[in-house]
Amino acid sequence: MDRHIARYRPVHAPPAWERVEAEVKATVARALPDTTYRARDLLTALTRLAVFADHHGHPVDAKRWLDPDVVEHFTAVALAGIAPASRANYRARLTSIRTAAFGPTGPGTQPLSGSKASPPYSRADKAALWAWAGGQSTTELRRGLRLLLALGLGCGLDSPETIPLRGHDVRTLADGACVVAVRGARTRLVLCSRPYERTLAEAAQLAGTGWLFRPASHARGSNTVTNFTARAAPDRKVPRLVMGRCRATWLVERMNVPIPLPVLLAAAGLDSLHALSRFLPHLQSIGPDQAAAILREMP
Amino acid sequence: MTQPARRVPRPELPAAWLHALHERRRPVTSAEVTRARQFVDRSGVLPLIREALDARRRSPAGRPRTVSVEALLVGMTLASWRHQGRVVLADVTDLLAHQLPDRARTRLALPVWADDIDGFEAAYLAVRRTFHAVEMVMDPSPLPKHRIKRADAAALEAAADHADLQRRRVLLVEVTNRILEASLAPARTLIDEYWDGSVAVDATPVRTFSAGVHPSTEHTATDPDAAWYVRDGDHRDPSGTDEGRSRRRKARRTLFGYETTLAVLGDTTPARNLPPELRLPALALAFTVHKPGHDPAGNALAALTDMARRGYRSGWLAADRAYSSAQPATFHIPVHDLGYRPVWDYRRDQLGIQGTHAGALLVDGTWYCPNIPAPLINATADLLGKKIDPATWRHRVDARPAYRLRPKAAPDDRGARRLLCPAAGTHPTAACPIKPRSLGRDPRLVPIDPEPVPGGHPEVCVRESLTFHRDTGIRFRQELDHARPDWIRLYFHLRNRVVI
Repeated sequence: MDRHIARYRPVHAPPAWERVEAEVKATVARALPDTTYRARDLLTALTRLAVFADHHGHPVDAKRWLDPDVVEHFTAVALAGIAPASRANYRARLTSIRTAAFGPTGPGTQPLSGSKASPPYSRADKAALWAWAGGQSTTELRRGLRLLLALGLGCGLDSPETIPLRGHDVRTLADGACVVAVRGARTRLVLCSRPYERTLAEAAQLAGTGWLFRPASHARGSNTVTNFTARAAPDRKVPRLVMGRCRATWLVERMNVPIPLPVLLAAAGLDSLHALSRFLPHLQSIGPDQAAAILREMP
Repeated sequence: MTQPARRVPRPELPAAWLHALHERRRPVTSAEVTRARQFVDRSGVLPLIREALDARRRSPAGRPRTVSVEALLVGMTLASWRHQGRVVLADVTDLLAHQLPDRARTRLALPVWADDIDGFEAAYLAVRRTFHAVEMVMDPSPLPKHRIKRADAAALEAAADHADLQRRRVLLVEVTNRILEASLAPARTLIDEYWDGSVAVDATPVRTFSAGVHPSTEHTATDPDAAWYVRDGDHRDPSGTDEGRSRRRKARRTLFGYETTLAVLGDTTPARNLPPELRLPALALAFTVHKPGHDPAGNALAALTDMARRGYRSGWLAADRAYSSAQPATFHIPVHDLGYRPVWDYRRDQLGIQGTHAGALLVDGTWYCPNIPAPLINATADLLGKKIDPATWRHRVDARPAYRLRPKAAPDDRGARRLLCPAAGTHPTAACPIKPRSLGRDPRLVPIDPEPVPGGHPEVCVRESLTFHRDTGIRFRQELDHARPDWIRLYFHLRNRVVI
């Protein structure tokens, strides 16, 4: 057994600790090699769960403690006073122990915390951003920012999808349409919307086989986009350029028009509709008469 | 048993030097002394220095100074007049000790010193003590005035009370500029009546007696507050050639000393409109002395602020690229708040688009319509890059004003101003399809061809006028169109008066 596990004893250990100690340590020792967490993190989480289960009359059995229902009960009752993000951390550690020690169980759970959906840009925001990008002091900034707008507002790409793109990932078809072959975990082909085609095609031509975004910079990192946008001179009348908001704008604009869901999911690189639910508050509302007409006239 | 006091050997003054000092003697008349006293009184520095000296005293005990501050200043003023502005304490000593009329000496409470080497030394020490006491209260440096180890200098600077040093710097600027103001008294009426407030700001190096040492040496120079002044001619690589022609690099100028930032009076009235006797000379209205290259914008601002304190009006301000490239919070905004209207020039990399606000473009210091053609945006940059000839450049620069955003009203009390789109209003300067009212009015109006944009037209195109706040584009913005005749006349007229 790992020496950290063997020596572990919670601060202000409750009387129940003596009853659950052996089972807690054995379970963590079994799960530890298959998780990315530190032993201390797993021990803390499982000890709190074990003490909670003991108080509720559950037998000393880790498999019973880690039952999804017990964990949900524990999260809702015993962790009620702590921040949502900490509750989510506790539950993630317990789920990790269960998966590593006893195998996966059932479908996923509802997220306890998470970032709020990026609010989409308005039409005026989009116009202001485009003009702002063209008003920067250097050619590199002007080209780079307009390319970001073309990829974000025209193709729905996020920063991690923008950074690894190369010039030849953009193909210009005979009719002027631009297709972007997105790399990474959500590999797909996206057709750029018409107003941004010219910007994208020019950027691809300039890049050749090099990086599409910032071809002069050889360094790639998770902050390649934010470093670049931070160099641009801000304008108090223009919102900050955030690629997440650009993608949200792209998604919301397409959810507002009649578009087949498989097309939207494929273009957005999504597996389920789950991620889209965050944007529901930003969708256009529709009047009852129009809603009735759509529902009635639909074959 | 006590040790007998050791007598410190005193270096003997060469007899020839003392004889030369005697030879230079010329009796000072009572009228000259009166004028010098009036000059010192008019400057108003005596109360300031006395107040600062009193603040440093730990107790009211102690004997009065042998040479009072007033006597020192009168002596320095007389010496300055006699030696074309140069003041040497030995001359001041001889003047106070042996050249003043008896009545003036009594009035200044000066003792009688013997006219020999011992008398001179006693008088010289008294003058030096007063001078150093006065200098101490306005010395913005914590370093001693002799050669020290660099490590010791760094330790002294780190341990210094920087708030006190700043107070001394402020006092130094005020005292020196009050003396300058006293010298300007004969011209002040003319200045107040005929001057429009325009100044040029520039800096010039001043050599010290101390020899400079290399920064890698262990010790500082004998004047540890001075520094090297280095000026590269045109910052061009000496090995480079210019379109096939070899170009000799301008001499690199280096000296050890200080830098003086000067605010020089500028006369913007066309010469033909004024008789010669009313043309204002290029007078220095304010100055500061500092390390070369250290905080040029801050020192220029200190000089301009002191001018404002003395009641000078503010007008055009011409400054070179060292000042226009400063940070807005430390120079542009305070200068704007003092009421100056800058006339800038720009570095080559600052030409072209310099900023944007609601879609409007700041090009070479002026706000333009976002659809101004690219060749007009880059006109001056293209000229410097040898892409176009001067005639084409002139043609393009002259074509810019049609695309300029026009002021709708004067700035408000916070410096915010509304600007009109060139196609807006009752008298548009351009015809734009986004604003149909501007179409079909006058065939001479410049037609604007808006670029198709994905998200729609920016705010400046959609609205008639926009508010531009004081700080919007303040780093580069200027009232006159860069490189247009008015700008050329003012910038070069003001800057050329600073003969350095």
